Amino acid sequence: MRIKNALFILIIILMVVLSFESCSLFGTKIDERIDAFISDLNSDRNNVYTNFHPDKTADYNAIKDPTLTWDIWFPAAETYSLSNLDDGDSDSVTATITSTDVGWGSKSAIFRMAKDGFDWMIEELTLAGTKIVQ
Amino acid sequence: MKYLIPITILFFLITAAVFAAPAEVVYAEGEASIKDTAGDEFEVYIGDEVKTGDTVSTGYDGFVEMDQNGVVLKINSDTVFTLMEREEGNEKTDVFSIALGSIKFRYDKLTGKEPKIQMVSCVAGVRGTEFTVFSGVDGSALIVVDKGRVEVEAEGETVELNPEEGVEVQPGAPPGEKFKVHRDQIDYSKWNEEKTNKMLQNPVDSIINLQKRMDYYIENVAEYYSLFSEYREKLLAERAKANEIAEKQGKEAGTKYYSEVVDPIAFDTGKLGLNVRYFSLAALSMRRFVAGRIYLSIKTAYITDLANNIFIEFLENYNNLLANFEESIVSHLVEADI
Repeated sequence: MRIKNALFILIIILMVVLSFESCSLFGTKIDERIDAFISDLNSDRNNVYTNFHPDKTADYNAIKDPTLTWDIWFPAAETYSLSNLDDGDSDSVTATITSTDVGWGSKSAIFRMAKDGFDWMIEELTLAGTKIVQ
Repeated sequence: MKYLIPITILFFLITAAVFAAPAEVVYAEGEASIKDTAGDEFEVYIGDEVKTGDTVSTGYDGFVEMDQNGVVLKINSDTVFTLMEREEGNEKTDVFSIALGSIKFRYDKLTGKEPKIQMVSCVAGVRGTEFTVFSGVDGSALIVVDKGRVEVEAEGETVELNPEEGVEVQPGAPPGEKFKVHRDQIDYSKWNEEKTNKMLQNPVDSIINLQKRMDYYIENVAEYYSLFSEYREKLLAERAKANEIAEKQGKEAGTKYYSEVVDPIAFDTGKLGLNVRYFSLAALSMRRFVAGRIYLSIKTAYITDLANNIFIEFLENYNNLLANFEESIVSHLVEADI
């Protein structure tokens, strides 16, 4: 009887944990995707495009070449960080991106997100009011 | 000045919303596929969206009808259509590219910002509400207007077509004489058959004409890439200046300089990069769908006589075209384009 109770409690705990963590178990969450984007921007620009939706991002092929997008908008050899992330609306996820480049400073960013299977991907990116990837 | 930034932002958002609208497939039958920007190809179904960079191809029995914000495109059989994007007059604009086959266009209303129509041999500016474009096997084009007006430009010359008028354009040549034509009088298969016969009779001329068009794409890629590189250098210099200002006059002054001077240069640099891609992709489309097919047709015709001087001369020119393409265009493409 004791073992049965313990198993029951264990199952309940497992279900509660799963309900909170289900997204990360079954795919990439919005904040994780945007963190991955910033991380790739800082460390591997050839990989940044992999954070975008392959079917919904029209510029998907263009952004594979970092010199055409990322190096223009985000000066290379600088480090970027994310703050004020609000992912309440997947069509308009807002955040502030800050650069170690003093002149670049901080800019507002709006990410339009779309699901690719279980994973959230970036569909469009608007930086300081200009749509740089669509 | 207070309203300048919000107005500029609004302008970008409006232009993005107007020009980046995907086309929706409203009818499809027979063999038809969409190749997306990731390089994946799938069958066309009603309700599919065709977005910038996607290519729609129809087979011998294929037909696709699409709607893009009130523009109806009827894509006939054996046609290759790509929705492209370029920068023109300081704005991003869609381009309907037809490498091969025929499409009938019908506009519910004209806004003055209609996408241009790019064929291998010419570009058509839309002023009309109903017209058909044909893109032949040898790269030549035929444009026929039912209603309204269409401007056709090739090799720096422009011809304006009125209702029930048509014009033919050979690759590498300006538009020909316009002619009178009644609605639906042109039989595309027959016209294309004539082009095929002409190409088989003069294979060397056909490939030389195509080379002239390839030269046009290469010149544009070189010109835009040179400007792109120039702007990129300018961008680096102005960024350094912004940081210098930040150091001497404070962070706020540096950021202000950045948003007023550096960001607009970044925007222009991005647009130049877009045009480098546009002309590179147009060259790729011509090399794949026109030059490749010409080579196959001519080789098939001379398969039992490959030592024939005409075939040898054709092959020399064809190889030159490929070499020029490899040398000047390929470095501007990514693997998924190819």
